[in-house]
Amino acid sequence: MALPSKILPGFSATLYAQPTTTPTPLTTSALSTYASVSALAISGNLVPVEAIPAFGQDDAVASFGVAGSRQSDKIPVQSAPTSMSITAAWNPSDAVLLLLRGDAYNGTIDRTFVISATDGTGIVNYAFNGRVSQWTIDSAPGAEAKVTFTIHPRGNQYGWSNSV
Amino acid sequence: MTIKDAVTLLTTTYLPFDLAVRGMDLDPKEVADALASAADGSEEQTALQFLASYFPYVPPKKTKE
Repeated sequence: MALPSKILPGFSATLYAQPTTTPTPLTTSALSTYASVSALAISGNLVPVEAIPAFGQDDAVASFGVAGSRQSDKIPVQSAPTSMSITAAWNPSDAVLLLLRGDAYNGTIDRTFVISATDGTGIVNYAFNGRVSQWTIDSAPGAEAKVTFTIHPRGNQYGWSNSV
Repeated sequence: MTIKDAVTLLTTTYLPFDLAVRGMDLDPKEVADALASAADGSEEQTALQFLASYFPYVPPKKTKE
């Protein structure tokens, strides 16, 4: 998969989720095509998260040990997109949060998510297909109600793209 | 497999491209020509850019006669 050809020295990031209860996630090529991905990165699809967690690929190595050897061998292998734990202010009337709550309840809905990073002019999009899981609402009286959930990406289904 | 079939496969699959391209045998010049005529910013262009990296076209050197 091609890496973004644009560098953002300082940027803000936003998370978007593909709409509708029965989405058709983007294909591998579409995930790497700016026009296809940016069509999802619109305000109506915004997920109101508190902060964007680390995104990209997990570390992945295969370890090999030989009996009697002092050092094992760690060989980098192709790594999976990292899972993301997300915290958002719980608003029970937010359409996107309700959509994702439905995903977590169902458990098998694949949806395209987009993290759009921008420095104000240039945009780098990281798009991936994933499933929502672990939906917990913390309504402790000392603070605003929060929802915490995890997005687990599907293997190999991600792509980078950027504005010209 | 034709270029058209390869592009159709790559633009509809959920497999990684590295896996989808296995077994394909394409003419690098045809890939380069298709890439040159692909619409800018289209999914076809994304697929053809990948194919071009797998089947790089090297123009023949012109020799003095």
